[in-house]
Amino acid sequence: MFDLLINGLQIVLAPSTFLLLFAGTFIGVIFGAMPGVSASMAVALALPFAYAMKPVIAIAFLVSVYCASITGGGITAILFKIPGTPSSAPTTFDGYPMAQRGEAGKALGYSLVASAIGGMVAAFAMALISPQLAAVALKFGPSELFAVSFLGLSVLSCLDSGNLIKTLISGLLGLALATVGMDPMLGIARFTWGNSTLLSGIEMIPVMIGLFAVTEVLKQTSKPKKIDAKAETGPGSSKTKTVLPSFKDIWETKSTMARSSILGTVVGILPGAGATIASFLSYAIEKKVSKKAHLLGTGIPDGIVAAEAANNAATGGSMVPLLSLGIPGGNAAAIMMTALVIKGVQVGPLLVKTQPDYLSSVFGSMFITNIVMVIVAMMIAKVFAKILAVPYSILGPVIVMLAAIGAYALNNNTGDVMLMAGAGIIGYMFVKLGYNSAALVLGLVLGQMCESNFRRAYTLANGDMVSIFTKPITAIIMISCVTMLVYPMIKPFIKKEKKA
Amino acid sequence: MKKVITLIVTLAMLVMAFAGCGKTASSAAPAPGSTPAESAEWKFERKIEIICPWGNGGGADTTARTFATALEKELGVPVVVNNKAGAGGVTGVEFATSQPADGYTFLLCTPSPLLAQVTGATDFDVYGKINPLTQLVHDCNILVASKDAPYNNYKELMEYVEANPGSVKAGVMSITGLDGACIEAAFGDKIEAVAYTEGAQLNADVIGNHVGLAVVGPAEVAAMVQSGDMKVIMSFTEKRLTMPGYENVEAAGEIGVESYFGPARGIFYANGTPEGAIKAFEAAAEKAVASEGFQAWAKTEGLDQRPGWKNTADYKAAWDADYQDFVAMFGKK
Repeated sequence: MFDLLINGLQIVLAPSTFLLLFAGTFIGVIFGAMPGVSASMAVALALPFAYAMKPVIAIAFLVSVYCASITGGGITAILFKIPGTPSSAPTTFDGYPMAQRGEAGKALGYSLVASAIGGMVAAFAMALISPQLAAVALKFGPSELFAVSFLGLSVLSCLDSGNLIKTLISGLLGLALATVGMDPMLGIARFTWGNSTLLSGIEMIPVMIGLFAVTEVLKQTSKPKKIDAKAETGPGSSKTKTVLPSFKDIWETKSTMARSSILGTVVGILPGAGATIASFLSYAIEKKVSKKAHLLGTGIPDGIVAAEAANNAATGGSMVPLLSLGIPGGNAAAIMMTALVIKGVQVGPLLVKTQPDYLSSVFGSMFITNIVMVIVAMMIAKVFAKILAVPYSILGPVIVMLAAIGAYALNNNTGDVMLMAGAGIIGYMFVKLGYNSAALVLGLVLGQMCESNFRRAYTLANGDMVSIFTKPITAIIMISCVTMLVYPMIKPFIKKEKKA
Repeated sequence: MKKVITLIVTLAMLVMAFAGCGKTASSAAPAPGSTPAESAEWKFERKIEIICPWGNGGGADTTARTFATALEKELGVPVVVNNKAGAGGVTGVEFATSQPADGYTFLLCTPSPLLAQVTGATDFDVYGKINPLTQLVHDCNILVASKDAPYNNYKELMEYVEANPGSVKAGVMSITGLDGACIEAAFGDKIEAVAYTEGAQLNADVIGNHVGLAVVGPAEVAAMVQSGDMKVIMSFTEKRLTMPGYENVEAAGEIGVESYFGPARGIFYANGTPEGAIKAFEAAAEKAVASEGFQAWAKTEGLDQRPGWKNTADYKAAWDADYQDFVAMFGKK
C-alpha cells in the first residue's frame, strides 16, 4: 500500500510531469471559474493536449484538470454568485453573503482549504479501499438511488423554516420543470409545446446562472443604498485578498468537514450521481445535523465547507468504479476513459492489477493537484477579485453579459440563453414574493434522477411497491427521509403539547 | 439616478439577449438557398462540429472522437465532437438540425432515432430531416449477465424464464432504440426491457445483480468481461464473433433467433447542407476511415466483425431499407 503512494509521487514529481500537472491545475481552475463550462467540459477541452502524452501521464493530467475545475467553480460562486460549475451552486448560499459583508477573502480561503481536504480524503479512500468502495457502490440499484435522491429532496422542508409552504411550492415547481422534455423511459415528449429547446429538457446550468447571477444583478440595481455602500466599505474597495483560515478555524469546522468529505466520496462512487448531487446533498444534510444549522445560509464558513469539501471529494469517488470495475463514475471519468481507450488502454480492474502505475499516477496527481490548486486558485482569485472594484453600475451589466455567454457556451444554443434570461426574471419575482430559488434548483437537479430510478425500480420489481421499499438500504434511507420531512412540521405541535 | 441607469442597461441587455436569439433563429432559414461555394471546389475554412447524440464514453462517442481525430488530419481544420445526449438520440438529432446547415455541422447517428420515429415515440421527423453521408462502423450487440446469474447461454436463459416468468428483465440504453428492438425481436413478451439513460449505471446494475440482463456493445464491457464480473450470454449476430474470449459465445444466427440489430454508426447531414461540403466531406471521410489510426482502433474495439465503411449512395440505400424494415416490424398499426 505504501509502495503505491511512493510510486504515485515518483511518477507525478518527475519535473516534466509536474509541469504538466501545474498547467492542468491552472487551466482547470480557469475553466471551472467560467460559468457554463462544467467540470466534464473542462476535461473534454483539455483532451486534445492529453492525446500527445503517454497514457499514464495523460490520466494524471486529466485528473488534475478535473479536480482543479471543481475548485475553480467556487471562486465565481463566492465573488459574483455565479456558480462556475453546477456543483458550486450550494457554495453561493453562504459564500456570497460573506463576500457581501466584505469577507470575500475569508470565504475564498475556506473554500480552497475545504476543497483541498475533501479532495485529499477522497484520494486516499480511492487509493486504499477502492475495491471495498466499489462493492458498496454495486449495492446501489435503482431503488437505492431513488432513495438517495429523495433524501436530497427531503431537505426542502428545512431550507427556509420560516416559509415552509412557499419553499415546498418552489421545490415542487423545480420537480415539475424536471419533467419537461423527453420521457427518460419511453422517449415521449412532455410539456414541450413543439419547442425544440424544451425537447432536451430544462438544462440545469442556464437556469442556475439565471436564478443566481441575473437575479442578483436585478436585486442589486433596485437597491441603491447597497451600491453606494459597496463602493465605500464593500469587497470592491478593500483589496480582496484570499485569507487562508488558521488551523484553529479549520478545526472548528471539523465535523462538517468530515461528514461532507465522506458523503462526497460515497456519492461520487454511485453511478448516476456526481459532484453536483454530492454538494447539494451535503449542504442539505448539514442543514439537518449541524449545530449551526440555523445560521446556514446567512454566510458562515460551515456552509462553504459543506459544499466545497463534498464536491471535491466526489472527484476522487468518481474514479473508484472506473479503476476497480471499468465503469466511469461520472461524465468527467467517462471522458478520461475515452482518452485511454483511444490510446489503446482498457481501463478496468485488470489494468490496475497488472499495471499499478495507473492507480498510482491517478492518486499522485490528486495528491499534488489538491495542494498546488490552493496556490494557483489564490492567484486566480486575486485577478477575479479585482473585478469587484469596478462600480456596480458597470459590473452588473457585465455580469449579465457573462451569464449570457456562459449559457450560450453550454451547447452553442440560443435557446439556453432565453432559458437563462427567463430564469433570471423568475428568480427576481421569487425574491420579491418570498419564494425560494435554491429549492427550485434542488428540485430540478434531483428530479430526473428521482423519477427515472423510481420507474426503473418499479418495472424491475414488476410493480411490487412493497419489495421496492423493503430492500435494506432503501428502507433505512427512506425512513430517515420521512423523519426529516415530518419532524419540522410537527415540532411546533410537540412543543405546544408539552407546554399544555 | 445611477440605480435607474443600471436597471435600464441591465434590462436592455436581457431584452437584447431575447432579441438576439430571435434573430438567429429566423435568419437561419433562408441561408441554405444562398450558398456561395456551390459549384466551386469546397474548402473547409473553420472548425467543423460533429454532434454526438449519445453521452461521453459510450460506443457512439468513442467512434465520433476517433473519427474526428482522423478527419482532422485529412481536412486540416479542427473537428470537434459535441455531445447532446437524451431521449435515445432524438435530442441530438433535433439539435443538429436546428443548427445552421452551412456545411460545418454534421451528425453522428445510428438507426435508433429512426426507430423512435417509426414506433411513434417521437413526433420528430428523423427520416425526413437528416440524410446519410457515410457509414463509419457497424457494431454488434451482445447480451450480458452478472457472473452470478443462474444461466450461461440462451437455452438455460429460456428455461429459467419459463420456470420463473417475469423475473428476468433486460436493461437497454433506450427502450425505443435498437437495444430494445433486439430484446423485442429475440424474446417477444417473455423478457421485458428496462430503459437506462447512463451506460455506467446499467453496467453497475448488471454486476450488482439489480437487473438480470443487459444489451450492450462488446467494447463497453470489455473490461468487465475480462475481469469475469460479467458473462456473455449470446451475441445478436449472424455468425460467432471472432474476437478473443468470444469463442464459446453463441450467435443469434446459429440458435435460430432472428435478432441482428446493432448500431451502424455513420455521419449524417441536415437538409440544406451545401452539396460541395457533402462531397468534400465524403472524400475526406473515406481516407480517414481507411487511415491506420482508425483501423487500429476499430480492431481493438471489435468493430472489425462487420464491414464498416459505406459511401453516400450505399449508406442511403441501407438507411432506406432499415426504414422499410422498421415500418414493417414496429410501425404504428
